[in-house]
Amino acid sequence: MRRRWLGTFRTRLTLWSAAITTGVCALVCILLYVGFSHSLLHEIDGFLGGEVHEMAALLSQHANDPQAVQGSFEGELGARERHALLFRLKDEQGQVLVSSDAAARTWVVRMPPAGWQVHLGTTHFETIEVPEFAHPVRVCSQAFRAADGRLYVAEAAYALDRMQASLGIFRTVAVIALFVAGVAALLGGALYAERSLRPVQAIIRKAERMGMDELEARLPLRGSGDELDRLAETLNGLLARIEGHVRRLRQFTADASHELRSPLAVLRGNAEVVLARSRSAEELRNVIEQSMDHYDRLTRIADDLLLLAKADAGRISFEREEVSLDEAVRDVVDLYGPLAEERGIALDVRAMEPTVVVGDRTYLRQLVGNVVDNAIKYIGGGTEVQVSLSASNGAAIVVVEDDGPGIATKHLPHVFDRFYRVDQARSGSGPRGSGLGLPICQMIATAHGGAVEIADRDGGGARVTIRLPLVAA
Amino acid sequence: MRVLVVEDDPDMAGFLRKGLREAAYAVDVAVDGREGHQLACDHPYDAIVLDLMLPGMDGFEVLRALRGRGERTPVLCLTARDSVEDRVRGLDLGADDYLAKPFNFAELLARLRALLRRGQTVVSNPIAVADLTVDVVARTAKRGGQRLDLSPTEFALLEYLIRHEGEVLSRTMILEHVWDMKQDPLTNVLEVHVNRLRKKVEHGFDKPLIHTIRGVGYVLRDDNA
Repeated sequence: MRRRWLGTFRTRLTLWSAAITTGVCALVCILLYVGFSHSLLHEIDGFLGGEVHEMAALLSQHANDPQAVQGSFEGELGARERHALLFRLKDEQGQVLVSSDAAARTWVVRMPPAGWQVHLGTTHFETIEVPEFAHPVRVCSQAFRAADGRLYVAEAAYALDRMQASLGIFRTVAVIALFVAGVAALLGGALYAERSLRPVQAIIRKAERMGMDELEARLPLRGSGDELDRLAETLNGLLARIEGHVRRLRQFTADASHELRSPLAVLRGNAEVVLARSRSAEELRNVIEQSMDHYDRLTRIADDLLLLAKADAGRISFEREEVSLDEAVRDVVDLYGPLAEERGIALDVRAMEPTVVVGDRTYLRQLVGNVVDNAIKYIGGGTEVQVSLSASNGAAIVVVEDDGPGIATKHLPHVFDRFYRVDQARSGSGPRGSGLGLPICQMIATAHGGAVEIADRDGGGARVTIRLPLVAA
Repeated sequence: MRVLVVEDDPDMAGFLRKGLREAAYAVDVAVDGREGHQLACDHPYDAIVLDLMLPGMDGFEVLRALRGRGERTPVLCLTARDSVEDRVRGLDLGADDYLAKPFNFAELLARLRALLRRGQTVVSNPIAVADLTVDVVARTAKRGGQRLDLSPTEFALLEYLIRHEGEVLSRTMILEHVWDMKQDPLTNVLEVHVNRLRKKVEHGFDKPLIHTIRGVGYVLRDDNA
């Protein structure tokens, strides 16, 4: 075990189960002990009560002459020697009239507070220490009025040595039993913990061996449907999501490198060709001017990648100010109008409602701009792009529609993937974006609590819908 | 105008030195923070271009040390880190402006000019270049005494160009100032606008005023002046 032994879950499980089992056993033993000692004492008290009654009877038999009782006592004592029984008879003032032996004269019974008079006929029990005895002594006292009208106190006492011996044996047995129970609980708990944690160990061993090179690996399921199976299933779900993310990340990195390679290759190729021979200043100038577009594109890809990476890491701080969306749309249409016109495309605003949303002005303009830019860029043989802005159900809705070729159904699920291109062969001709335009649009819309959707327009063409939450009126 | 460039990357320092000298600045280059600080203390520069990521003493420390001495020279910070925190920290320490790498050289020049111009009087109205006159208050433009019929957008574009007469303005700068768009869409959307404006400003006149600097941007200037 590499981990600290005490810190493991198994150890804690074992210790807890052993502690609880042992604790319950100890509680049972204590209850039994208390019950047992009470019942023993009760039995002794009954016996002593009987003896006291007998003394009262003897006194009346012997015409209330205490001295005459002595003989009878001693006869009794002889018969009961084994029981270490003591007697004595006192008068009202506590003067000992008769006693079974010398020891019986010395013990001191605590006088009931109101005197014997009050307690006439009741029995009073007390456990006291007598110097002559090694063990405590149980005393039963009873006051009674003899036939001559005088008050006597009869007392019988019994040494508790036998009872204490019995309780001692009980204690010893209980301690042994507790120890055995503790050890058994410890072993049983360990065994139980080991058994229940075995699947966890299996999961740990499997997970330790998993690496980024086997993304498809999953944790074993036992099919029992218990909590550990559910844990493994949950982790498998997490692994599947991580696998998806890692694969997308790898694809993304590969695509990004590819996107950077092509302009770099063109730049390098051009430069090599130019350097191969001596060129006029005019030729050199032309090549450098041509390079500028590629530099811009490279810079743009780097900027876009950085922007998306920052968005992924949640590190873009968007402003939260009131932005007039109709103004943004108007500015975008104003910017793209002449370009569209030059390309024979009618860029029209179909509907425009004054609409205010909360967000970052710059990014929202970029969002609308990117969508219009895309519509003009990929319109194919189309001739019109229509923009509308409306507000309904608490959302501002910008719709950009074109009558171009639209987007084939198979591409629709991927248009928001980074570097995804509907027409792969397009790469050579015409100005291109970074391949990150739509993913950035989606990122901006999502960050503003909205969404971007792309669908086919009725009657051909594409329809891009931007939804943004309106400012609560 | 004398400018100090504090930049550890020799390629970057090289083109900054070349570009700034060609823009008629006297340029000194320091390759690390300590040297930059020393030079800035020894000579009265008109402006400092300071890279924030430097070996040894970084740009923030140089800035703190300079401002700590009460040095008021305008400082333009450069960094590859386009992060808001760095920007805020730089500006807090007394930087006057900020430019993230990679940047347009035209934009660097424009910002530097703005820093050097700071505190000087604004241009008079109307602004005239050759026979073109732009009244930025009345929002009218005339060429050769003849009034030009410009749309509001065209006027805004012309105003921005003429306010920066003789300065090469990058596409990004124009898009940002005239349309409030931060990003260059990489289409020729701006070119079309400039061509339209050019047609109105130059149609029927011999002398071209709006010039395209290919791959960089546009400039309004009178070549014969």
